[in-house]
Amino acid sequence: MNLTAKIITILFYSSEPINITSLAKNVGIKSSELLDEIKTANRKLSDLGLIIITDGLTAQMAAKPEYTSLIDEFYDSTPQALSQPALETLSVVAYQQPISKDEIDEIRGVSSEQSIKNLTNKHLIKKSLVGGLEKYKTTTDFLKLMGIEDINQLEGYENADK
Amino acid sequence: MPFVLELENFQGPFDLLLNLLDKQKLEITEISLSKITDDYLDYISQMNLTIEEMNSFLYIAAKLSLDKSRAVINIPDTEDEIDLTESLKQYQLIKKQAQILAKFSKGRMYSRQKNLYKNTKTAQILPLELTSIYYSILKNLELTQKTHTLKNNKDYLDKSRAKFNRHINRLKTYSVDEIMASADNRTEAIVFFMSILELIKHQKLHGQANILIGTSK
Repeated sequence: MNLTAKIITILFYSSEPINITSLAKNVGIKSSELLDEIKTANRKLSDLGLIIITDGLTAQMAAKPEYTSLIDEFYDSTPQALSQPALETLSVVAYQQPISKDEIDEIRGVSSEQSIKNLTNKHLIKKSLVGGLEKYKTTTDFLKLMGIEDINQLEGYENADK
Repeated sequence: MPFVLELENFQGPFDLLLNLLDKQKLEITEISLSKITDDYLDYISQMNLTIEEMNSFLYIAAKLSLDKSRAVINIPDTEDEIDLTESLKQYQLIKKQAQILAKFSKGRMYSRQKNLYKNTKTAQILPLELTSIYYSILKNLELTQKTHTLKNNKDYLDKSRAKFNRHINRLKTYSVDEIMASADNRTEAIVFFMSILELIKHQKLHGQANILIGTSK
């Protein structure tokens, strides 16, 4: 079995994001090498309409954005649009992550508690400890919603005031 | 010049301030904020807000009024106060970034889903249907027959479970009525019913209402 096939097989089987460290360990490489291997895998998957996305900590296989309408039509799915407060809160987290709830509230000028709860329930953001403080980051589900492989592909992300 | 602003749902005081500046075609500066302070105060007095929402609007109202007073008597801000112009510029950027996210989300991707069945309404109907069948079968069984103590009768449970397994392995699809009707007594009916629920829970069976059908995986 070659390395790329091993990575694809493990990710193909799961409906959940897989921890990068665990995946790298199981296929016998370092985590830093895995990210390069994912790029190799993506070149091979491209013609099949599939893609591996990663938030740096986890990775997941998904269908490429150009096939979304096919899935919507076949499974009769109509995704619910995010409300304006949720979209604003998600923007703050996406462009300034990792960020605390207080910082989000300060930037928006209002309490974002309900929006944070909704976005967390939709698995678009997650709370993690950064330097001993609870901060929010985006997830692989966020990447899927945006139709991007990693956060750096988000328009304006590189120039954002993080 | 006073103007009329229709009551809208703003996402917070910054959203309202940006809207007021925009309507007057003003840049985000301290002078511009001073010009729209009265409009802001008029507007929030008409808004129907909860106490929590009102807090954030009033905080900015107080800040605007203070800044306007200071401008008249020429006293500088203290360091620990928020800089409204900077906050508004940052919020304006967030609004633009939210539009980018809205645009990007049109190109969303899907990954594998758990428990995905095409054109099935199982989840909405199945529990009610199953409960109804369960009670109708229990009602029809003789209540006077000897009951078994499940707790201390492992052999009996194993036999009932084995009988249930033999039954469902014969066919790919079957109705719950048929399975339940083959129970010899009340205890066996309970074992059968619990087995059906257990198999559905572990996705070994796919239940489908209105006529209940199971499929062995």
